[in-house]
Amino acid sequence: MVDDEPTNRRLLARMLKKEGFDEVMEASGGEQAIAQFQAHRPDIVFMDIMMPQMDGFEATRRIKALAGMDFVPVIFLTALHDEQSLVRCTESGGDDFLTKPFNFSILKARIVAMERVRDLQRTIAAKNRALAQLLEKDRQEQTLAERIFSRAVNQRNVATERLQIVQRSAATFNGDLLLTQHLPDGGLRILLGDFTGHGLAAAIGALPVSDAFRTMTRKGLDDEQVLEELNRKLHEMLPADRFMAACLITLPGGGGELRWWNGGMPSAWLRTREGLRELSSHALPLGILPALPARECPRRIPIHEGDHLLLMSDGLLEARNDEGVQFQDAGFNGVLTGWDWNRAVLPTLCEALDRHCDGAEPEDDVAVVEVPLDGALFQPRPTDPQEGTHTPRGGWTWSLVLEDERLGDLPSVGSVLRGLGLLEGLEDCAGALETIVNELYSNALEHGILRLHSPMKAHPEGFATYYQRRAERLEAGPRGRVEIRIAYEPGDGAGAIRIRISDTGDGFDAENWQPVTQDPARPWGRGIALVRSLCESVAFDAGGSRVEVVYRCT
Amino acid sequence: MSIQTQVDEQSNLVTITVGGRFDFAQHKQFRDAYRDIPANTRRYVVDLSEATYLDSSALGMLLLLREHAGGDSARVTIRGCSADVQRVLQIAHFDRLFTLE
Repeated sequence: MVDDEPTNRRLLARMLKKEGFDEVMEASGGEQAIAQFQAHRPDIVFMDIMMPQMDGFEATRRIKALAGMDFVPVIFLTALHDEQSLVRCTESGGDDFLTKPFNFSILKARIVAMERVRDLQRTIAAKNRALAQLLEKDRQEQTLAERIFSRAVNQRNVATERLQIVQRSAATFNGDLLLTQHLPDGGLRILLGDFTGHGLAAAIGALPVSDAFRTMTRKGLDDEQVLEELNRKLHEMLPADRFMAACLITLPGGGGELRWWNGGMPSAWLRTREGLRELSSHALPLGILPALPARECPRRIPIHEGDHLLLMSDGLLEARNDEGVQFQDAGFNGVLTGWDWNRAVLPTLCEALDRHCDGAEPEDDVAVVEVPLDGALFQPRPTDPQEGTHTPRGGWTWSLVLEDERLGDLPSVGSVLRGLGLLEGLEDCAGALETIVNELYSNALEHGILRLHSPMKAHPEGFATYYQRRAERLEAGPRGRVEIRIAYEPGDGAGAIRIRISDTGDGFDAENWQPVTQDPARPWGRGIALVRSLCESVAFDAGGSRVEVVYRCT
Repeated sequence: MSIQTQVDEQSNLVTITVGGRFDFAQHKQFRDAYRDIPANTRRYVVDLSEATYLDSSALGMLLLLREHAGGDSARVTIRGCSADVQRVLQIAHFDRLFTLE
């Protein structure tokens, strides 16, 4: 209650107290009012206009500035009736005014109205805060989505220096997806995809698509298999309204041919010496049906050196100018018809797009890829001797524990690992691996668990007895366990296979083990010798009940 | 897998053919293939072209056959080895004890 007249203050304060407002602070001038406001933050301010030193207009301006986002109603108390003064009340930030002398019912009505406005303002402010938080969260998700895309998807692409790529991100990230990977024959496969949905949702779908595309392409699986798998994954993973339009291009290593499949993407364009070919969508996008219809199979076109291929997302075609006209209805066709054979079209296309948009930000992501179809696109064939010595880059560990009655049946580790796909790229090591594991396992089982003694095998009868006892002891239900652990460790050039076998037996005398070379015709004690010859290192410990060997793959 | 024996009386040659995995599980059959033939009387060929795998106990069995055939004085021929089998034989230096074909 700001007034330099104590009588006015008392009168109003009494009226307010009668209404139930117990805490009324009084100030006799503008400066005191500001100090009081800062100290106590009242809910409503009644402000006289004419005061010595700082007047009501100035005090109101400052109080409003201090209140910031909070709504604190300021009601002017005025004896002035001229229009000009009332306008100044509003200009300085006042919300209402009361004319002196005060009328009790009018005062009450004004307070109720101001409280209503204040409540409304508070509700809006609370909603604005929540909205700001959501916007921030959304922004963070966008950043995450873009990061996932750039790290997990874009950076793993190959031959990108040979392709001409234009990617322009709109303000909202929509997840146009470009994947490239070499085939084992040195060829190249390209996928340009466009997810329905934006932001994180699109990026999440991109990850398994990217992984499956790369793995299957590296293995040399054909187009149908890749498409089937991507379709199956997306159908399983995404809700019914989400899917991915895609254009898949395969350029086999031998050259001379292009295979293409277009499910829901804008037409791709192939400029050959003969003219322009449109590769228009002939299939459903991926992730809609549980299985791909057989008739929607990839198609083939013969290609020649100097041909160019152009792929694009709909963001390019639908980019609008300030009159709302889309690029496909404006400059796009002119660019295509002016495209000469054996010439890059992308620079012309970008210029035309820039002219069309005239500096306006695209509403949607724009992705355009031009592929010059020449030999430099392809990877040298892996017949290169340097290349041939390389073993797979990814490591794995496999282990098996056999106990008691199970001890007699060691499965063929070669078959087991092959069944798991772990021997891909290591097939040359499979024979040696089988030998090493079998010999070490026999050693662990026969000497460690079954306590058989090798020198028995020196004579034909002993040899037979040895294996007869082996069979008997296994039949009798042996007690114990043998653990096998096989780990492939990739390295520069040739990787290594580390094999560890341990048993619960008493071990054997590995220290005094006699090398077989002393008697080349000795029919026993050859297993460990074989392992030693094959492996880079062989180390027994725990009294011979644990052994670790390293085999170098070459 | 199977072990088959063929005796050619005219050339005095016994051919033992081993198929599949040649390991300890075959020891009885392998020994049965020659045990009734008197020692030091015949020449032997072990045909491993059908064998997929060979372990150290099979090496022992081959050495017992060699002894039965007469040791150093009678060469036993091992024939038709796959790459994996060949490697095991080479590591064991069996080329010094047998004729590898």
